[in-house]
Amino acid sequence: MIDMVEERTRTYYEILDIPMNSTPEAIQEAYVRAKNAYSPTSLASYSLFSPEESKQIMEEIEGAYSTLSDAQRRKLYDREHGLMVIRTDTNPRVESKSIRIEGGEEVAEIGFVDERDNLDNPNGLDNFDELDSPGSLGSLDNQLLDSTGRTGAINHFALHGHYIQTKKSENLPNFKEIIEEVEKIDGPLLKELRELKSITMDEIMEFTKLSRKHIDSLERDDLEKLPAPVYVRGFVIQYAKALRLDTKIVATGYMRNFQYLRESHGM
Amino acid sequence: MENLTARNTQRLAELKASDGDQDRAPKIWAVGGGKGGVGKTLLAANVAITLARTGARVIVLDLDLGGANMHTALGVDSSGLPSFTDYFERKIVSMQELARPACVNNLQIISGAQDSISIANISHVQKQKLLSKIRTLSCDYVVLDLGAGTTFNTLDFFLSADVGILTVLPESTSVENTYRFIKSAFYRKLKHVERAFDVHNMVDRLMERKAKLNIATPADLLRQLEREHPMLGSRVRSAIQNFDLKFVLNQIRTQADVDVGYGIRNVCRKYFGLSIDYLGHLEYDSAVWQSVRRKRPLALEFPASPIMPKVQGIVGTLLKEEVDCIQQANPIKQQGRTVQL
Ligand SMILES: Nc1ncnc2c1ncn2[C@@H]1O[C@H](COP(=O)(O)OP(=O)(O)OP(=O)(O)O)[C@@H](O)[C@H]1O
Ligand SMILES: [Mg+2]
Repeated sequence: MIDMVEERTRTYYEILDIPMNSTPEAIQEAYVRAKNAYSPTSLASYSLFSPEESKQIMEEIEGAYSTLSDAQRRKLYDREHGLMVIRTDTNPRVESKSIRIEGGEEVAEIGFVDERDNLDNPNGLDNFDELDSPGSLGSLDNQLLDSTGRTGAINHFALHGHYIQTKKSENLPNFKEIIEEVEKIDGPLLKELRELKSITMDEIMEFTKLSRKHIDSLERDDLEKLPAPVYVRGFVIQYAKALRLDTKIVATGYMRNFQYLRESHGM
Repeated sequence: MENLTARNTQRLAELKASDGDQDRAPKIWAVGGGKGGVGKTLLAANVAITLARTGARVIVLDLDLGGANMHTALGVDSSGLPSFTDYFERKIVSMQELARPACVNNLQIISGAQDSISIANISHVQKQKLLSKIRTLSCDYVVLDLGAGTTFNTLDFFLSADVGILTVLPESTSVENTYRFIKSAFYRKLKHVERAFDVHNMVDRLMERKAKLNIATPADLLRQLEREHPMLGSRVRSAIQNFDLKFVLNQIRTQADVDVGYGIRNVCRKYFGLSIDYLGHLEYDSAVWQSVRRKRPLALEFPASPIMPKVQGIVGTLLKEEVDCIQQANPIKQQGRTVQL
């Protein structure tokens, strides 16, 4: 029952308690669970960890999540830590292999369905996006794929990013300015921004992996239908990502308004 | 769920048949947990019934001496049952003779109902006798129902099992007790290995310097032990690694309760350096106390209780792990684990 990996520094995957091949949804879910586990009111941790320790662990969790929830940064991280994904087919739902490379040796092999690479297109960034430089990431991916000799995989690489990119027109307003200047960020505003970007309900559902019901209640600030705040926060982050908006500003703004609404409804 | 159980039952039967070893030692599943009244007996009884219904021969051992009530949970009349005391005093020669049929086919009970002795007070020799004879019982599985508390005897039975299952409620006292139990089991295991290795007090000596060595958690302790005494350290690590620790969350009412289980899993990994499996959860169901009042097992009295599919899921998971384990170990034969004291 001892965890062998305990001796070296825990990887982000271990911090979130998930396998390396986890889908973005699973990462999101694990993040919420991990945060719950170390929250000040958590049953699971208060008797073993002091509030300060829990706070420190929370920071580790945030760090792990901020990297793993971002397809590009996750890819970089995997690469830096010798965790890489080899695709066996261009269809993202077909089994691929994950191989951990240590000193050039394959030490573990697991069959799994990988769908992380189809999440993001580094070239689809809006001017204000705080992601790493798109150019270097693009070449990194090519390198990665070249080294495995399976270049066919490039094809589905940007499966989801495309609509954001192709629908970008010259006359779009400056979204960065909007979200920084508005008085409050609420559901109707998010909907407006989404429509301005011509992203349909189906597209956002596909990107965020959220149900129509959840998107709908998010956009209408439907307190009754939305789950607990910590989940809502995760939804908003996914939503903001789909719109290529600054996730931090949007999530903070939305949550502030959401909490206010809840309190004013006596929830 | 039912399918998972059935599929793995069949697979296990095939594997065992091809092995040609019909007289293998039974697997031991122990159900324990620090706190009283958390559903250990409920879980053990219904797991045993479910397991017996797959066709496996099961003996339930009620080791909650002093508070034995498994006979009631299995709908068995306690009058005329033999006792462990009879066995210790050699009025009964073999442990097998203590077993009595219970409520379903293939299921037997060895009850502590007639014993006035408490589990904490059985002697070292008596405990050794039980520990070694459990593996000779003629059945496929022994399900141990342990009492509350963390006395050495209870821990030793728990640690002798192939699978140790803790029952936890989503409330602070129960979670705290669970951690206390795991901590005690952890140190107890260290002691077992020390003794088997014929070294003494190494762990204690480390613990005396724990502030200086920056040992805050059991995980730190083990790391330090490996650093200073690599041989002993690696023995301890593999002994602990081989122990299969799991937990079930009982009396669930909300999704937040279910999630407490994931929290416990994450925290155990961080604090103890242990990977502990979250086997599943059982709902709070008033049918439980009704069945207790009627002195009938839940599985028979309220088969439609939401708890029953969960129990089947738990049994299915455990059987599947056994199948995987045998398949991995093939062609090397599986050996029953013995505890070294
Ligand atoms: N899932 C449940 N739903 C409703 N009631 C439950 C549930 N689980 C347990 N109980 C209640 O808790 C009581 C104690 O359960 P049980 O005897 O199984 O616990 P235990 O851990 O074996 O206790 P002890 O430590 O005394 O041996 C039961 O009689 C029942 O009334
Ligand atoms: Mg009991």
